Amino acid sequence: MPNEFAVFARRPVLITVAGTSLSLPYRPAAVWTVGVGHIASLASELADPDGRDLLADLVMDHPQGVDNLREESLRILAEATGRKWWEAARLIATAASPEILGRLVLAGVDPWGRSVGEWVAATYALCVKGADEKARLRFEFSLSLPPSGFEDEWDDDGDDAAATLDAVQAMMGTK
Amino acid sequence: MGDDKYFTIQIKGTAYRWRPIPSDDLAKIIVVMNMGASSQKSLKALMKVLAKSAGPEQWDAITDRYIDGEIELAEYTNDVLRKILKRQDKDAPATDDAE
Repeated sequence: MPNEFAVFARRPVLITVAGTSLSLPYRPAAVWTVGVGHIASLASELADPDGRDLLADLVMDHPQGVDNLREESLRILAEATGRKWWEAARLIATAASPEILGRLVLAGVDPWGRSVGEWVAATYALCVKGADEKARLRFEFSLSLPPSGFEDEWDDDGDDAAATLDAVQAMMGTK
Repeated sequence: MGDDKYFTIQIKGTAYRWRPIPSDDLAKIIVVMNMGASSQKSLKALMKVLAKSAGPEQWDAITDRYIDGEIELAEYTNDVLRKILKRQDKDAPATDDAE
C-alpha cells in the first residue's frame, strides 16, 4: 500500500537482494540525483561502503542479483517520490539542467537539504507553474510515457476510456 | 558464438586464450563497476569473470606471475577485459597484446 508521507520521510529504506535484506540510510536528493545516472544500481549509491560491498557480492554470487538490484532500485525511487519511477527519473534529470537547477536554488530548494520526494515535487511545481491546462496536460503526458519494456505498467491506475478521451481532446485543444 | 571460439590476448609478452564473456557475467561486471563498490571488490568481481574466461590452467599461470611480482593484476585485468569486449563487439578473433 503506497504511503503518501514517504515523500517527506527521512528514514532508512529497506531493500532485499538475492534474499538478503539491507537497510539503506536516509540520503538527500543530491545523492539520489547522482544515483539515477546508473538507475539499475541506484540502491548501491544510497548504501554505505560496507553495504555497497555486500551488494557487489550479492550481484556476483547470485544469478538473480542483477535483476533484484534493478527492481529494488526502481521500487525505492517510486516509493520515495510517490510517482512512477520513470516520472521521478525524468524530473530528477530535469532538475539537473542548468536553468531548472538555477531556479530551484534561487527559490531556496537545496538538494542536500531536501528529500528526493520533496525535490521531485518542487521540480514538478516549477515546471507547471504558470502553464495553462493544455500545456500542463502536455507536460503530464510526456512525463507519464513509460520507457520501452515498461508499457504494461502504464495502466495501473485503471482503464477509464472516457477520461482518457477527455484528456487527449483537452491536450489536442479540441475540447 | 560457438564453444570453441576464443580471443588471443597477451599479458606482458605471453599469449593467453580467452573465451567470450557470457552476457550474464558481463551484466554483473558492469553493474559492480557502476555501483561504487570498493576497488578491491570491483577487482575481485573482474578476476572472477576473467578466471572463467581464461580457464583454470591459464588463470593459475597468470596468478603465479602476479605472485612473482611480474605483473600487476589491477592494470592487466582491466586491459584484458577491455580487449575481450572490443573483440566480442566485433565478433572476430584477432591477436593483440596487453602491454
